[in-house]
Amino acid sequence: MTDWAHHRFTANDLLLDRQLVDSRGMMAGRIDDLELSDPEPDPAGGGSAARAPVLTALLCGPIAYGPRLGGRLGTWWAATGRRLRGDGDGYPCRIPLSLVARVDRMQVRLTSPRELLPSYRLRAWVADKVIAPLPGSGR
Amino acid sequence: MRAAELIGSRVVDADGTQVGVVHDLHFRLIGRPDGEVECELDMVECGGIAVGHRLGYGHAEMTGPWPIPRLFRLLSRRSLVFGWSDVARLQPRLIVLRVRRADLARRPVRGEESA
Amino acid sequence: MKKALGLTLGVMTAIGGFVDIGNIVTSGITGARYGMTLAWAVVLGTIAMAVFGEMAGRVAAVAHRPVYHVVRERLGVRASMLNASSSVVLNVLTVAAEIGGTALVLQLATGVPYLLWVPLVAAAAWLVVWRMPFQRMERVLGLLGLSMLVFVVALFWLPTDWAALWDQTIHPAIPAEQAAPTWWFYAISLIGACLVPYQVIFFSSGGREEHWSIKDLREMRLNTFLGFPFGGLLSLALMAVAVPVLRPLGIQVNHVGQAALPVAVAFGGIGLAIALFSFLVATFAAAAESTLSTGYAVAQYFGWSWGKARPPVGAARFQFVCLATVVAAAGTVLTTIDPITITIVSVVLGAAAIPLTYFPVLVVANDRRYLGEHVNGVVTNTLGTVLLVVMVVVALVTVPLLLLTRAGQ
Repeated sequence: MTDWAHHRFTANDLLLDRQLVDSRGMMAGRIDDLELSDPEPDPAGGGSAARAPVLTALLCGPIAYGPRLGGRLGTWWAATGRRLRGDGDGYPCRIPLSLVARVDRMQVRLTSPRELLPSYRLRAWVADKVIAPLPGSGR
Repeated sequence: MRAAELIGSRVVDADGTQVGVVHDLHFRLIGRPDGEVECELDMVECGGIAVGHRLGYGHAEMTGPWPIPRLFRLLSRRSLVFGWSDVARLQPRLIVLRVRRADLARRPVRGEESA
Repeated sequence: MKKALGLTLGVMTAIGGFVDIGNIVTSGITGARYGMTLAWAVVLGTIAMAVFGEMAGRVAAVAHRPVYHVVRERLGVRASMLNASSSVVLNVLTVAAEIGGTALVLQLATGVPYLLWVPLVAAAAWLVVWRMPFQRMERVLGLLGLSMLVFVVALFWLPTDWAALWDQTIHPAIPAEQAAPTWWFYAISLIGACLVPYQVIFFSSGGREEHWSIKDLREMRLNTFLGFPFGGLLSLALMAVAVPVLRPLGIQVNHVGQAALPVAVAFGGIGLAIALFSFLVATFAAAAESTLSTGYAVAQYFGWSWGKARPPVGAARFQFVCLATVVAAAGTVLTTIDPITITIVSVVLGAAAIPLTYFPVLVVANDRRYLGEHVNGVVTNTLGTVLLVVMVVVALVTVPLLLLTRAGQ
């Protein structure tokens, strides 16, 4: 279960744009967006939600980052992310809260190594296809 | 729903008066009966000028340098918060409230609250 | 003993790392053209650099946040994107200036045209970024850079009129035969040469590479309060040697070689060789450091792994950005734009861009949630705010002056 350092906080304070650190202390990207549960329609029929949304996952990678950047550049960014992804899935990489170990002022720490995260693909591609073939790359 | 859909949305009150633009989401932890802890969207903050808030000047722990904290607190004076129960309708980039602007609470300058 | 060695090395590397092509060119030009009437700009730039460096170093050591980590957290997505991209463009320009400068020095030493040297210098700078351990890079290049002290020695050897130098320094006035806008333009170029964004990015990220923590604050402060001012002193020496030698003959500096000329006059061929060697080391070190800074900025912005502690595959995207920077910079020089022009444009635009990195660091240095008791004190904050005002003024007048004087023509 996630260990939260604060019981009341804002998205800008602790979550958005924060550094993700994996279980071994390696950098694992930044939180580009947050996923909230969809508002349920009010049973009374007022059109509003009966219950406030809850945080369900952290989103990262270009598909999450693009819309936050906004404008034409943001659209292009997200589209590039989708193309790189290659599997036609337009949804950003999700890190469900069950993978989050601790959230505090310093960082957001995950319970798994970054290789197991969905957001690791682009990095792995650069490492394998661009960097590894160069001499002295350490592989 | 994604945070980016809410942040930056325009907010209007029940009379159609502009309230501002969403610039932050306040969360609180709540324990469920089964022992799980959920992180609930407690308040939505809007209005005012977001930049000082973003820099951290919404907090009492920001000490200077003079006169920047004072300036940003002055600019964010008009920040208002509303709860999810105040929301009448969600549209793309627009939040319509069921209450009136005059009834919304001002955002307090907060100190730290630890779990 | 080992600790003392660490301290001295730190200070020495700060001296060696401070002076780069920007300082060499702007100090040479202004010394020959204006005497010491612009020495105040070097002093101002150096003080600002020490204050900024200390804050950035403190934030890196205590809050474990290098500059672009702070920028992304504090400015939000859009403003920080704009900030990071201008920084990257500026850094590429700086890398181009350093690579071009190194190649020009090699041309002077060998007679082989500088454009042929550019690919070799770029490749060598990339190899340092790619494989050389951080501390070795910092120490070797920093210590070799001390050879620039030859300019201080030359100043004592030459028939220097100390009273006149001092008088010009403390009574800055625009020389009668010179245009005011150009004088102000070069004042900004000197400030920009001392207060370079890439050096602060490098300094604070280097602190993370060396795992600074609260207990290293003393060493960090020695670096900033001794190392940077010594670097400023070297810049002043570069300026001052031009006064007794170049100024009476009306020689304008428009090539790195001319900046080394006063040492040749003092000590002949050997002096010239040492001076050129010191230029070579300073510009080459700066080429590697500014390349690394680009990688640091981008990787920190996106939260990727960065640094030289791991083999390149362990920080693949960081290394990819560094490689792309070197290639883009070498390409810029190979367009045959004069490297001296690139240098001047890069230092004045750098001066204009300083608030982008300075302001977020100043803000975080005041956040108790991150720094606890190590937040800025009254003195630092007063200095910090005054300098912020200066930097904003500089940023506002830079581009008009650049256009008005056609880059100091």
